[in-house]
Amino acid sequence: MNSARWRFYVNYEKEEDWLNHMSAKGFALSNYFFGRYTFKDSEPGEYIYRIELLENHSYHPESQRYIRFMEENRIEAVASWHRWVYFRKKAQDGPFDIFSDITSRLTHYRRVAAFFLILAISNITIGTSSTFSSLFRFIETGSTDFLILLLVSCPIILSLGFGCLLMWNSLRKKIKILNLEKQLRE
Amino acid sequence: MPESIERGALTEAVYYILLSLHQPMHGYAMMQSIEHLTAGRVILGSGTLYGALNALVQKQWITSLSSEKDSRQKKYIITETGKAVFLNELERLGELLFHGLTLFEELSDDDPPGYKRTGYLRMIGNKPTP
Repeated sequence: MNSARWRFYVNYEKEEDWLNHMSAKGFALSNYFFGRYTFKDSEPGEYIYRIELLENHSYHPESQRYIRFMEENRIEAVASWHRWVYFRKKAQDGPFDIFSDITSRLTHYRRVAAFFLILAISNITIGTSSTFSSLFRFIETGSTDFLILLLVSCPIILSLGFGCLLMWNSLRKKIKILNLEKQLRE
Repeated sequence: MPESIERGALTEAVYYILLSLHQPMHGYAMMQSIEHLTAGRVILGSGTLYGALNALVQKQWITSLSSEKDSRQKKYIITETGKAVFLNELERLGELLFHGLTLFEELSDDDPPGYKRTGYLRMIGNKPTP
């Protein structure tokens, strides 16, 4: 049986936790598209999920090579969204972490941090400029269209931007801790 | 490249990959053999392994056995350069181990209590008996 849930996550680690929580209840993610998660019934706890941000779009040959390598290691790519990939592995095949040392973990965190920083800057810029322009246009014309834009669309864009900024900040802290650790051990 | 970098310690992942690839192996077999060898202590993440294999091929410390087209279950083997690097690392690790063991030889039996016995046994690869 299939079921679907709508969710919107900025924090991919919380998203990962939620997917694993769903998997523990017998709902295994089978697809993702723009906030819509499709689940297939499975044995409770059959799969462990991990989310990774690749260097390139998931259709890129290098990404495809990587995904094939993962498949050879019994890790399945169930869904992808631009550069994000949803991996899963059968729990009976043992623990599942994509990265096992500080260096590779750092590389991934840095990539994710850069992703969120760009998203934060662009959303805050667009959000701020359209807040002002729709405010002036509303004063100018009195049209409710601009009021809706001002009160609904702009706050959504801005809060997305600030959400990404917070995410970037928390990743920055994690990177700092790992960098310290890296001075001492591998 | 400066010599000091060439003499740096290998990461645990790279060390065990080079060790495993003294015979031809593909990624999954490597992960399993390393996990088995270390009694579950070292479980390589697939992403970490992928990155390390690519870097090792680029450095020509290992080489891929199958042709470019045949990408399924690609097998790798260590090169002569890789063997030399591995041997150097083994020598370096031997020195580290030697100094550690010498310290334990110099310690008296009860200073600090149990430290010598458990530490020594762990270093020669045995789990201390309770």
